[in-house]
Amino acid sequence: MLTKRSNSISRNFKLRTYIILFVLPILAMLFSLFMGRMVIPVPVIISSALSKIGFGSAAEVAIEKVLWNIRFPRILLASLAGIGLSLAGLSFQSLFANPLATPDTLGVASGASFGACLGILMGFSLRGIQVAALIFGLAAVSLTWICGKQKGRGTTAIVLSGIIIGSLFNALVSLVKYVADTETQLPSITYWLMGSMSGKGYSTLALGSPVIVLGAVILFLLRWRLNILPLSDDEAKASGTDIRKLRIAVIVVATALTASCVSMCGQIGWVGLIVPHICRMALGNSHEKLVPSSVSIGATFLVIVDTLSRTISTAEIPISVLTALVGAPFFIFLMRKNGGWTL
Amino acid sequence: MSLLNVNRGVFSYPIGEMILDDVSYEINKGELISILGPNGAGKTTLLKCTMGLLGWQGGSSTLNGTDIRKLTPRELFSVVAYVPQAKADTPNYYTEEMVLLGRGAHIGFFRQPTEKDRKIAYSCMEKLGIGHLAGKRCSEISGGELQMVLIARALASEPEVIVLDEPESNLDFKNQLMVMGTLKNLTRENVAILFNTHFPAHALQYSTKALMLSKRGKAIFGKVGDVITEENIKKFFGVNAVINEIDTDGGAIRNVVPISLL
Repeated sequence: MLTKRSNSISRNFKLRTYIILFVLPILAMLFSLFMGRMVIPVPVIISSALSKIGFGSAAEVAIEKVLWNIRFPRILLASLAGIGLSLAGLSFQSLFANPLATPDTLGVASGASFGACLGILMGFSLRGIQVAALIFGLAAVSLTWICGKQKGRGTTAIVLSGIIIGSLFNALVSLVKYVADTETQLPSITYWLMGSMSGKGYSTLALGSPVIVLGAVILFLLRWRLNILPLSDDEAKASGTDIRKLRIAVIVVATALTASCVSMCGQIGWVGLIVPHICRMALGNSHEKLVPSSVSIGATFLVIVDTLSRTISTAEIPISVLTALVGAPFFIFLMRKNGGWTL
Repeated sequence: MSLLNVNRGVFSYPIGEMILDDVSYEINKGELISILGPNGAGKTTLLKCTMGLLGWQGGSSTLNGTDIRKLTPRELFSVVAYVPQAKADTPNYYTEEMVLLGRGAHIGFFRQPTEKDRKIAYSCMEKLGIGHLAGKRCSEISGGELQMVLIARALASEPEVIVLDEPESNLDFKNQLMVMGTLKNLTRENVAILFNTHFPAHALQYSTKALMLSKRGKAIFGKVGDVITEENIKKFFGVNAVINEIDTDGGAIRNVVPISLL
């Protein structure tokens, strides 16, 4: 009796939640296509989109160009970066059984940034920059893990170690800036470090999207298994999972996601912390729900923030400034309302 | 051939003296074995070495005659289940999600639990009388309820041996009786139970055999009545104790009362 009832409750809940999670990013994308210096009415957007798949007629050339050559790739980039950073944050939180573990706090983002800066300095191709970001991201997370490893589930040591490793790599980034050519390289490094979605076309997308899509698919397949990660070491081993294999898989995937986002659009903070916690507060801590919801909320969040960054003022506001300005108060509100952060 | 067998196990931590020195014992189907010993004697270490969470430095554990070092985690932990002490820092899953994690050894690495797995998890909860906890988070239930959830999780793996680390410490009388009664019931279904405890009376009342560990890593193992004696308690725990019998409606129960330091 009881069993049946709780089963059916969770099933209804699931269906409604999944519809919401599916609709939210689509609404955010429509909003973003609509907003901008040239406001394009939603019916025009829809008919233009339909014309792409053979129904109805296309809009004026100028509108077509703004929609599909400027706004749409940017929206895709923001969605992918939102998905990548949210999933990376979620993975790191569970991997270290620590609500504060994110690409930023573990120094992964700084490591990846250093790798990417080094790539720019050496004049690497986009692909080379991405690989350098991945290598130094992995180096950073490994160092953090080695330095912060301690018996039991200490929450402070790993974050402290991450802050140390993060500032180490930030210092190296400064060094790169110092030796960079002030005319050509320094502006591009500085601008890129602040994080931006602007001026990136389909070529940037082609570079980063395969890694992010692949990472998301792996985490989606592992979504139930990820529930093992926050358990104590002995419990995790006794669950009959090859816990070493699982940890290595997750750490590589999460770092690759971070490095791809960093190499596409620079350092964008806060997303990896805020989005998984919003999902945890709304849906509980099972990764069966957290993985799909982080994908949906991550994409929605960053598309909206990026749209604001290009529409609030005539000059574009760096997106990481906005994620912090929007994220910090919102997060404090959520935290106080729910009485603290837990896994 | 016994189900789980420890043969001349030796273990010490990198710093410090020998924790376990030449310990041997065996567990058969339907047995309930308790491990006793003073603080720091290595009771938890013995449990962990027995099921391979820590590696023996000498000797071995064998499961159905096979050295457990030759088994994959999946093979080993689909037969052996582990119940840790219920602690406050347990991840805050819904209870049914927590119990479902017990199916880990039966579900492929990249696979999701099926409807059958979920049914098994729910039926384990119902069996232990905690079906009503479904839909609650682990942070919202009491320590005794959390202990039962963790036992249900172990049961969900359909094991032949369940190993529990002090399952009834930190629990009140009612919860102690519930947990011990549950363990006793499980042995009737041919599940073997191995647990460590600070309560010699529980060992006497519920278990079939007992193992007593000394501070120097030596162990004695045998029928519970032969191991838990006034003399052994004096020798292993360093206290004078009296073992007496109390008549109850359900028959005579032996109790251990510590009297004085040596």
